[in-house]
Amino acid sequence: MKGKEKCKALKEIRRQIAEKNDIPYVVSQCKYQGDCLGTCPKCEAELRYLERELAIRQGLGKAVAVAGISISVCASLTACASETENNAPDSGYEDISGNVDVAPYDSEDEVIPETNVGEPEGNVSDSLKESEQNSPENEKEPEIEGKVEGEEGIDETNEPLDTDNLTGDISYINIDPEN
Amino acid sequence: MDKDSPTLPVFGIKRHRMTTDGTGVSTLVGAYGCPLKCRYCLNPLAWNPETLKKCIPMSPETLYEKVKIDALYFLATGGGITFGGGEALLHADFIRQFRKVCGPDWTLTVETSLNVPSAKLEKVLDVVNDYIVDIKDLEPSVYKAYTGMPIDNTLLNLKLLLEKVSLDHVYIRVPKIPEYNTDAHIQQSVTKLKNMGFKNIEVFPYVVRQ
Repeated sequence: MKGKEKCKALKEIRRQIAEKNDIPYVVSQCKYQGDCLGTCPKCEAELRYLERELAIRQGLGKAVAVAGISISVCASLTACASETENNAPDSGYEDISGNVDVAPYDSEDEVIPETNVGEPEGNVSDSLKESEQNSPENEKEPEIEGKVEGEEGIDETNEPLDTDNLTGDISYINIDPEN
Repeated sequence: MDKDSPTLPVFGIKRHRMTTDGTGVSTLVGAYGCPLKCRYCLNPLAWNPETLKKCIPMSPETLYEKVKIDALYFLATGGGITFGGGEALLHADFIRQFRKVCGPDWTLTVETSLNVPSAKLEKVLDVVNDYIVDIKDLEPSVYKAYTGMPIDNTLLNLKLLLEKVSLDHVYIRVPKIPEYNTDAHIQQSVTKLKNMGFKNIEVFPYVVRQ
């Protein structure tokens, strides 16, 4: 699944979560034309917003419905099943021993986040969890958990290895399959 | 990091995987180490000594802090964490401890060849939800030629899965391995697996890198 397709599917998941829980959520259109990694600061901010709204509802003793969203339905609703996947023989699983991203992010693919993040509604209390700090209300370009300080763009969201922090933090681990 | 806590040598993490690791949105965590040396290994990073120098040793708590960013997606879609590599079951102690940290709601999946001592598999039976097994080939001579290891552990662990795990949660992949197995070998493997009782069996071609 390509990044744009992932983005659409994840957006649909967020929309369904919001709908299930009566959370105001404006599905915004991404204006970026190229492919992306499936997420960007704006997408992350929307996710944090939903988390925060759900936490508020839980705090008020309201029932919260999160589970039960079908990823295949989300993919089909967004018409994002890629041609490759559709044509894959015996589709369902890719090669399982690969697909771990370690390659550096190509800055040419950087996503330009929209400036007018879909402004969510709702009250925000001071007692919210840490994700509140990333809310679209508070920041144009929210801080993403795990983001390396000083770096821009969305690469850190899909490039989770904190390579800047590696120095002095590498240990060799003896892996003996017989033990 | 707790000195006694198991650590995972992580060389990569991939978020937002869909339609590849079972149901839901998942995050793939690649960990170093594999007992096999397969010619067409798609992830030689997992056993290249140079990779180990770049791995980040993570405690279960550290990894949890890293991946919980997608907790809502996991809960909404029935997804979670997929431990890959390499051979995920080499890190059974870590996976067991990670379950304690992440709680019961995330789906934990392991990508495995099952070629580990059964004690490793036994350790995770009650904490792992789904097993994605790259079985290679069930003909012992083919298996040994391709992986460099005997197949005995794999066969023992297949039996263990049959005994202890709902077969709805076991996905077995039978690869077409150029220059090693034939269509007849593949069919024999599939038939044997079906006769054992496994239901989710998929034949797929290995991608040969030049």
